Amino acid sequence: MAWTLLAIGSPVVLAIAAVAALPGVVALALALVSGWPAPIPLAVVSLGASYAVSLHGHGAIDGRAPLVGAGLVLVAELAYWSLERRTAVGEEPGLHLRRALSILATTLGAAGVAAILLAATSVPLGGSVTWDAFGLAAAAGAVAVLARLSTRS
Amino acid sequence: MTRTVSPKLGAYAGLAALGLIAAIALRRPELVAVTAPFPLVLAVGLAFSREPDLRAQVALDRERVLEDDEVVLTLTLRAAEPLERVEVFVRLPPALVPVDGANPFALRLGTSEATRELRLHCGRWGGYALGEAHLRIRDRFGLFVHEQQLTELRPLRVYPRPEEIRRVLPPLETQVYSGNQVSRGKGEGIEFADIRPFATGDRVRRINWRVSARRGELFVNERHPERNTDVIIFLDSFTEARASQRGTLELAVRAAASLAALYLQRKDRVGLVSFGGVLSWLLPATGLVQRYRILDSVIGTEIVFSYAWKDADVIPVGTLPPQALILALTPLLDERAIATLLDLRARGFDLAVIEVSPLPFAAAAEDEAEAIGHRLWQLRRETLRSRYQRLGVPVVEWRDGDPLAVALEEVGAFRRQAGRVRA
Repeated sequence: MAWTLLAIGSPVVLAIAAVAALPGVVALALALVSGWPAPIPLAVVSLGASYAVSLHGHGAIDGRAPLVGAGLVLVAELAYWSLERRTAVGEEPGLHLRRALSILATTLGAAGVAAILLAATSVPLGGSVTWDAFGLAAAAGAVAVLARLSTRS
Repeated sequence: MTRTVSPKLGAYAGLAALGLIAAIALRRPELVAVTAPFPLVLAVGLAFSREPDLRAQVALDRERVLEDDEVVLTLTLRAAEPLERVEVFVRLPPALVPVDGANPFALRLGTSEATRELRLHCGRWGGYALGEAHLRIRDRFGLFVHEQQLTELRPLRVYPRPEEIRRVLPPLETQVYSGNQVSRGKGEGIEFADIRPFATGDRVRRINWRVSARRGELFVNERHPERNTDVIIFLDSFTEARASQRGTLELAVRAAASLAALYLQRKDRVGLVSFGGVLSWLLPATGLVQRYRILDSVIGTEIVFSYAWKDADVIPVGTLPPQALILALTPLLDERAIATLLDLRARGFDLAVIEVSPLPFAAAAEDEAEAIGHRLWQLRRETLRSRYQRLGVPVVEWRDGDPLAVALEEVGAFRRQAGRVRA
């Protein structure tokens, strides 16, 4: 996030972005200290909002977005792992390494998919209400599919 | 098996929805790229999520152990499909402490069977049921937590470690069956008792030829027969003095188990009366089975608080046979136990009291008033001991750390000196 903030030219935008990121850092610290997972998504939202602010006045598509997305998912995964590790459990050898590799693979996969998506958005299709509606329907559909998967017995 | 959705699933779903809506609202495709990893993780995680089929078994290498021994609990886990992370917590009583192997522990399960061993140190006697285990299964992406409880209980009996005793306290009177105790009566036996003139019916082999030659008429040897005895171990479980992990009940139970084993070795009949909030008893019997009955009974002894008055009348008839030695193990703290022992003595029972001293477990006096109180309490106990001794009941103080054999020798010495005093 610091990397994206440093690239902001306008001091006003930089200040707003920094202020937007600050609750995220606090929320993350709160989650890690208290062991309460609820602030973790708030931290991700806050950091994402900071990135969204940093896009203000940025005309072209920002190519760093997949890395930011991968970074956010890495932050979330590490935070949840950290909370899981608060319980004193005797781990068998290799379990930590497998989990670390799993998180690394998730992050890299996320970056790859995000890059493909960003590349797809670069295709000029023209703007219209129809596309907006289609995009909204696609987003709702994606969420519905996830909800259906999550309630599967 | 119960399935719980982890907070991560809801959080990622919310982040995905929020990001996509924000991307459309702000018309920034970068936000789709930033948000995409979250639904991606969800989609992959949900697609591969399965109800785990996990079977677990618990086994113990032994069912009976002695205090301070170690027992190995083996947990065998078998899964139909590989499980990324299984957390296992075996619920253990406080007296059983793992010395080798973590509890709880986490492992990855393949399709083959996995076994884990927990080596447990048995710190205190008692009857336990082991095998209650909680299993928590997390999927690869941590979206769901499946929990399963295993209640395949295995009994474990931890017997008290016996005290070093070489000689037991012999009862004053013997019974009619053969045993190892030399009777005061005369009959068929090994120990020489006396000589008497030959009478019709006497065996020729009993004639003492030397005496007969000297006196000019036939004399026969008389002998003391070896007989068994009846011993009742009276365990006072009304109350106890306790400091941290040790207390008078621990000592009393250890002594009861040791004495019962030793008397049973001598072919004596041994019974048990656990006299407290809950009254339990075992009729006198002999043999190895009785030994295990007594051990199983004493390890289940616990202090059950009760206001109800109890005396010797509540003890079932037949539990206290005539001429039996009643060996009481008591901290002499509860009036009901003290009165009952006096009552038994008044009824003519051969009684000996081993006072499991509560003094080492009493808190040290912090000021002068407490010191005086402590001293008064000790004086009252001295008075109580004197009262017993006036009735011909030996009372010996046995402290934690002292050998029980010394206390028994003191009781024997008292009985030798004082003789038998009947109330």
